[in-house]
Amino acid sequence: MAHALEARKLTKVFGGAPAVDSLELSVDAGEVVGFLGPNGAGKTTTLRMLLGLLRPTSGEAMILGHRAGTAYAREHAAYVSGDVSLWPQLTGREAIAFLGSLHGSLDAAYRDRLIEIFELDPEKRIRAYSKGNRQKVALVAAFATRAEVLLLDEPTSGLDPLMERVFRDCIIEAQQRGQAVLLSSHMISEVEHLCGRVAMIRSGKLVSVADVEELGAHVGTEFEITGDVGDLRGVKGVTSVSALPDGVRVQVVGSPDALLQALAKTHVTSLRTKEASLEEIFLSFYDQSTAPPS
Amino acid sequence: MSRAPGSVHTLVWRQIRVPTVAIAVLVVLVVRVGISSYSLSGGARGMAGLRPVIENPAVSALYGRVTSLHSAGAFVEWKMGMFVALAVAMWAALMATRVTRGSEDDGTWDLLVVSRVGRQPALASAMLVLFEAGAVVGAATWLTLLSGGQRFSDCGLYGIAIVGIAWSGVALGLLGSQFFAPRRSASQVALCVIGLFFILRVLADGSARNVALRWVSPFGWLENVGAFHHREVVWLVPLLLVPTGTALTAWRLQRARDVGSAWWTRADRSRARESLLRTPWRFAWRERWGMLFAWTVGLGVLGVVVGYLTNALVQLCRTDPGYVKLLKRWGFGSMVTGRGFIAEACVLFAVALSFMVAALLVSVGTDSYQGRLDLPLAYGTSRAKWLASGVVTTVVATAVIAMLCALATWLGVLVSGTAMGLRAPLEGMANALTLVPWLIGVSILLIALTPRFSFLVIAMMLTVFYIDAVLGPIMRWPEWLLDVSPFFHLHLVPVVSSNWGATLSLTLIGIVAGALGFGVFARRDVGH
Repeated sequence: MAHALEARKLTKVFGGAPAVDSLELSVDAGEVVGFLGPNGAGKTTTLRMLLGLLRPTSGEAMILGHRAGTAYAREHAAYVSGDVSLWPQLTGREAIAFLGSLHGSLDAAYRDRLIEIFELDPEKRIRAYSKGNRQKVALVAAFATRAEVLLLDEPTSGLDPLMERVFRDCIIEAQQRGQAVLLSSHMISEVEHLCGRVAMIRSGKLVSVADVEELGAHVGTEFEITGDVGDLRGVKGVTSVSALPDGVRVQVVGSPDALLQALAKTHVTSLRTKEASLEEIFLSFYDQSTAPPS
Repeated sequence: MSRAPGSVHTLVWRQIRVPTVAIAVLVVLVVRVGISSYSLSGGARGMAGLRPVIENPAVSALYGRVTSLHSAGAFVEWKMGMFVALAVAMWAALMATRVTRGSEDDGTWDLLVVSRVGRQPALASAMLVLFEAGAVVGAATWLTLLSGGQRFSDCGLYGIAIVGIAWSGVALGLLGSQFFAPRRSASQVALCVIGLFFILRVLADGSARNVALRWVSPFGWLENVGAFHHREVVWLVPLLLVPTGTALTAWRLQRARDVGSAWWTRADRSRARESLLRTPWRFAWRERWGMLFAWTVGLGVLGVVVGYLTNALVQLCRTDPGYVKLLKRWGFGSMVTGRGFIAEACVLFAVALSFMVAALLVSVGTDSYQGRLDLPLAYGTSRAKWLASGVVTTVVATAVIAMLCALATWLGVLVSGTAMGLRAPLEGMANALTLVPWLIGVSILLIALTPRFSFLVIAMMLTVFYIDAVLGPIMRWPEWLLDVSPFFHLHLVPVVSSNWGATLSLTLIGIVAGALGFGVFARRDVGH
């Protein structure tokens, strides 16, 4: 069965420089995949190729088994950009109606509910909206189409924290309905909260696609140990050791077995472990001094 | 440490330098051609016989009122002056709305306002640049006339008068930017006012009874200066001071309003009207509604004015057979009858309709590079359908407006007391429409290749082709050069029948260019 969304060796070159390089990514129905990367990494370019707005230099972008940009692909996808640009003279309701008409279907009852929960005044003209409210117009249109594939590029930029929560609820509802979501975001907490898998891109290349837990394993687990534990550098799996007032902080990648065996020979008064957060994972991936994990 | 207002000065110049060079080159080209055609036509002696022509009210209304064509400068001022002035004023207004209202629309003005530059100094710097650009165009005019052997003082006077026209355009653009948002509205209002001033000048020169109207229009002031004729320097005072005062008023008006807002705004809230939102075809009408209304009113008023002038020409021809002979000798032979005058006017309408077609179509390119196409294309419509809906709307609207314009011209003819059926202006306007397939095809290709600069390129192309068609035969340019211009192939219908061979060739060129353009547009990256 075809993936809801798939990039095969997707490449885009602008002026001789690759913006996206042989990117392989897939999202299945009912799955929410986060798409992380620093500015200029190629996230928006990838999403625009998946929408058919940009032509790939090579490779393929597929929506539900159909090439991106074809009528079928367009009719089954919806999009929210980070900077929504619409005709300023239209009202919010008109813009939503127009996008719904282009898509071919719009769940009117759900649209009304979305307008209510996003606290959008739909009778205002686009030119009178703030950035956050323009964003809400695009979000209402995207969710109300009930499209099988949602491509969201920084969709919550400009939204206040209350609206971010509403957005998260909508994504969860979309996932439960079996919609596939590719969520490009700088808000790591949002991705961590919503996404089962995370794709990380750097300089146009995909550096990792994995579950959040799996990614954590690359960065490792942090141990805070108090007591007289001696020198732990050189113990298998230990990647860094830093001193604390009454002990040490140790970073371990992979199994902690060797560390625990080493500690068994010392005097430990307390031991605390902490899994790496997605933010730490993100920073470890994009720290230029660190080689990308394999 | 850099000087902040100096940075704004440089920034604004970067925004307008290309269009400024383009309009300066155009003015130089037109003036140069005028000087050459004067010399080729036998100079002052050759022009002496034109006296009855230039004194005819209908001709005066079109070209302006002059007493003699004793020098190349006088000829340029009469034959090209008004249209050069109109083009310069429109360019200046568009530049003014671009750097002021346009910058407020896209948010770049915010950066200047919050920086140490400050809001009022930023606008003052922008105004200074716009006035400097006007001076550049005036200087180009002056130098071109001077290089053509005209008197230093006459050239200087005319150059300064052109600066005044440019400043008038700037002032109207600045004022429009204070009262209207977004930029498109500000530009449309400024251009409408410029059109109104031009029509006031036409009416003033069309009848001795209306001469006072010349005193309230910058184009009338330009005519009153008469740099190569009567040299009334005093008219430079309103020509330079009124725009300066208007610009200063705009500067003060900015201080008293919020950044990004305008003094006159439509209500921010409106009841949804969804009937024209159901398909891209319908939306294409909705998007262009305001522009269509403005063009209909503008061309309708022009039609009535042109129609009204018909009687003055016909009466003169009836009473003076020698004058008819003279008109024929000077290539105005078709204008001796009402039908002939309407046929000549319809060629001018063909030029106006061409600009309208370009303006209606290029919004597809504007939507593309401003990011407005992202969501519609992502939501189900295709590039080809979007472009096709723009093309269909443009074709239908152009046909309807051309026929309304024919009707308005006929009403003007009726009011003037000339006996003429509706069929004559209808046939003339239908003939003007034969250029539409060619223009649409070429415009589609340019929009696909360069959406950001498509209108500039099309406008330059139309202007050059029109100059080629009008002045090429007088200057005895090579046949192939004349053939290049589609306007050259436009017959004077209803005096003679349409040039069906050329129409077919131009239509084929349009179809090929349009097909290529559709192919390129369907494959191009959106937003690039």
